[in-house]
Amino acid sequence: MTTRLASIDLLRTIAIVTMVLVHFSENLAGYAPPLSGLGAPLFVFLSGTSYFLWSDGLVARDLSDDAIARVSVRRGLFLFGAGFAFNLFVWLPEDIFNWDVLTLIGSALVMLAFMRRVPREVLVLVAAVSLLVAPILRGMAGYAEYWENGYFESDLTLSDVLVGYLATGYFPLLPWITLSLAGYVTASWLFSRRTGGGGSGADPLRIAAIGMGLVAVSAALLLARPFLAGPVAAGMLGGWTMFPPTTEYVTGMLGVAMASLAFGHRFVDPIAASGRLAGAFGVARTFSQYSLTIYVVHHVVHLWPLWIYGLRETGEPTAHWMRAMPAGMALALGGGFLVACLLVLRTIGSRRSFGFEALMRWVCD
Amino acid sequence: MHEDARPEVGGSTARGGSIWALPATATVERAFDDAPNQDGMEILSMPGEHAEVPAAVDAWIDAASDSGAGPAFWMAFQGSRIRWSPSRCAILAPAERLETIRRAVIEVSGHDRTLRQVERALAAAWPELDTDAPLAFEFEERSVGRRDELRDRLKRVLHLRARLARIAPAVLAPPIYPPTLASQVADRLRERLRIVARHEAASIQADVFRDTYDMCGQRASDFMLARTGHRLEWMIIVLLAAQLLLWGFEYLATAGG
Repeated sequence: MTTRLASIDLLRTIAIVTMVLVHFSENLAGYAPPLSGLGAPLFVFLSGTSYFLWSDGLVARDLSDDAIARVSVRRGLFLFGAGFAFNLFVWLPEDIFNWDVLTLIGSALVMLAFMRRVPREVLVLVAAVSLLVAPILRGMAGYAEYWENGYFESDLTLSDVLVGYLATGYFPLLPWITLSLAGYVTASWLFSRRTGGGGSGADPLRIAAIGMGLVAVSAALLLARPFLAGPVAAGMLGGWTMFPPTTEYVTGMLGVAMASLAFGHRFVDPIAASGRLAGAFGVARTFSQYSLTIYVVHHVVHLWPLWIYGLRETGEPTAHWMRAMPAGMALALGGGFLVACLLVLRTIGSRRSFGFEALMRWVCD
Repeated sequence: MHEDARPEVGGSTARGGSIWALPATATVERAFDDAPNQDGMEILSMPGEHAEVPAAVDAWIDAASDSGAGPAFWMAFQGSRIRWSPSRCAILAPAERLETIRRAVIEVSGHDRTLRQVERALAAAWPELDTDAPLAFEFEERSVGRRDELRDRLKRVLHLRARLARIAPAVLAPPIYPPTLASQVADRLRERLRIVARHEAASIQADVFRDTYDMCGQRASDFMLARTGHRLEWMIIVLLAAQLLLWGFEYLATAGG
């Protein structure tokens, strides 16, 4: 009997499918579909959620806190290293320190490994401080100077590398760690396992209400921004943008993620447990189980041909980046990749013995 | 107490199916009407001198004993006869002594009933105690959700202990001198029912439960107090870390040009 939660599989599938389509579209056609900015926050939020469920399962199996921390740190460092390898081989050496989502999730796992036993209220405070401090750091660093051409560029100096990691990269620690911590805390509310009791947690609808409240706060900040004083409007807020991840954007996406997880747990998990829609949930499970592999492979599949073609035609690998083909074709290719992924993974992937997830387990566990 | 003149005039035993009928002079009343299920008691009073106990009375008692209420036994005092079982009691005595004996029987039966209830509750609580005992030594974050459960169990144990304490003066009282008919009946019945020994055993058991849950409560209380302090300390640490981050970042940003 599987212990997977269909709601999490479904949300992670939404995240990975969105990211694949957005990346194909943006990198091949320079077109940002309407769903841009949905996948990554959800993915990061679910990394915290999954970490709670994974570590809680180890606690239930009587693994010591020390052992859990060691495996967690190994996994975090694996992802952090994988993020550098990914940047090196996919985004090419000059972008090795662009701080992608893998380095963020790796950092988040290491952080959660040490903060797992910290009271939840403190984690909430850390998440809030991260969200509030991030715009200040961006202001101090001069965020726009790192994004003059519409993408992140920095010098290979220690200070620029650290500034990029903390505040100005693609997925800087602040404020993105907020989502991972919030995912962990939300999961601990929803799925807490009490000694001697069942797996009952907080009322999902209450969590959903908190999520909707955050969405409302985000909307209110967006509406109020034109009427606020300059330092607040320009410094602490910034409108709805993912680069930089503004306070409104992160708050809104956090609310969406929390509400989605809570509603999913309340309404989707019972359906999956009853055995209905088994086919659809099976597809979601496949995408969810291999989300890390799909994340890496889809970049390789659409960027390497682009780099090779650009290098052969013009001598510059990125010559055709964002202008290789029309948006429709790029989206179609993205869809085709997802279908091919599903067919391949369903055919040979049921044993979960290959892919980056299996490699991580083999190296770290 | 509810009295009913011969509410049950006949019936069949579980063993043989034979029909019996209570004598016309017998009166049956219910004691402990508030008791749930098997803890209620019916008392049959039959005035007069009885050289032999009517078979119907035996059958009436046996009918309850056969149904699993527990074994019955006879006692005889100064021309009075008492047949006692946990759910039925027959008192055959001269009319002038009937009420005295009836009161003594009801009092001791009440103690027995209390003891039986406490013994049942304690017996059922041992598995819970095994689960909860580790919390008497160490309370941790994931145990916080069990505080309500532990509080309820402590409350329940204290209630049981209080019930034992309330009957203690009567159960542990020394025999009255000079003895009266009522005191003799009560003493003999207490002896047959091993009331004193059972009370002592139940008290010892209840003390174990009370001590364990008392320690659990102490550990939980200590943990919650420390937890509040730790939270405050953590919050100060986080804010200081944020301050340090801002200082460090300012330095980095300046160094980066």
